[in-house]
Amino acid sequence: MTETELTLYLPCGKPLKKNEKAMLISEITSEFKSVNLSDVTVKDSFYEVKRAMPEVIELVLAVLAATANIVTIAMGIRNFLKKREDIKEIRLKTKSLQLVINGKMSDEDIIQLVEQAGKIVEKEK
Amino acid sequence: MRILYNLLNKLEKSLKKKNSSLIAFAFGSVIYTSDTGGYITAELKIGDLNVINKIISGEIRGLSPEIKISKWECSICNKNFEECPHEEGKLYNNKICKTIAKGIEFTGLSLVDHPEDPRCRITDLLLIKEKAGKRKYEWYGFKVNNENDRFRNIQHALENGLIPQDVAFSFSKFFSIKLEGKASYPDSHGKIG
Repeated sequence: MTETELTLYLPCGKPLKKNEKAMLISEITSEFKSVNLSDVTVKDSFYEVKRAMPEVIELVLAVLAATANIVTIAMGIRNFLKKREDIKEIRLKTKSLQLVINGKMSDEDIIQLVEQAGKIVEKEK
Repeated sequence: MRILYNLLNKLEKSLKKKNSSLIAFAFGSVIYTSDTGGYITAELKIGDLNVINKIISGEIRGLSPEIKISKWECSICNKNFEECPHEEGKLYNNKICKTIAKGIEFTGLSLVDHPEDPRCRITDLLLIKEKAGKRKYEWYGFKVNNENDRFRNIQHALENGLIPQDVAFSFSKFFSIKLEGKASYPDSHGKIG
């Protein structure tokens, strides 16, 4: 089993205290475990300024993972977002894909989104 | 709605297209500091005619910097904000606790229609057209935040070899009379200077 490392990009609006950040990471990791992803770890974290859309980019996860894992990772993130209403959406990035996940998405929505993103990548190739 | 352009990819793709004889350089401020009024100016190389036209028409001139911050410092104790006991926005000995970004890395720049900071936008656009071995230079001067910005940008273009000295002189002369507008070299009548 390969380990998936995540880099957490937090919004710049409110820097977190060490315990707040640890709690956030623990909550995310726990949701990954709930979808049987025990090999996902948060490697690093940064704050990111993207000034044009502060209301949308609340949290960004840059993921280096195999595409097959993306659907499951996205489901874990969706589950996390269901519980954290203060975070509107999470951008999930891989080397080739960029997905925007929100807490209202169903499993089917996520599968469709990953498939569509995959098709766009194929077309660009 | 935000329009995001991966400028480098666009540039590579567009250079391969027919309009390889046209290249543009846009200049504008990207970051302003709230305390000192200082700012950082960026230079963008653009080869996509569609993007160039949108900048000229004013559809997109906003600049949105992408910055990664790895550490915050507390303004009260000057220690790592993550580990200190102070809370942002609260008063300590009549001083408000603020967080100061440290470990800043500039990761990218996007062209947007509505930048969060209205001062962060393209103020100057240099077009270099080449046809049958002859070069034509056009300088579009848009609204500036500071009247010296335009001359600074022309100087920057000269120092970086984007325009020769006579062209820089001609543009400076034009914009010393007009605050905004389009200067060409050689001009539309074929005159030089």
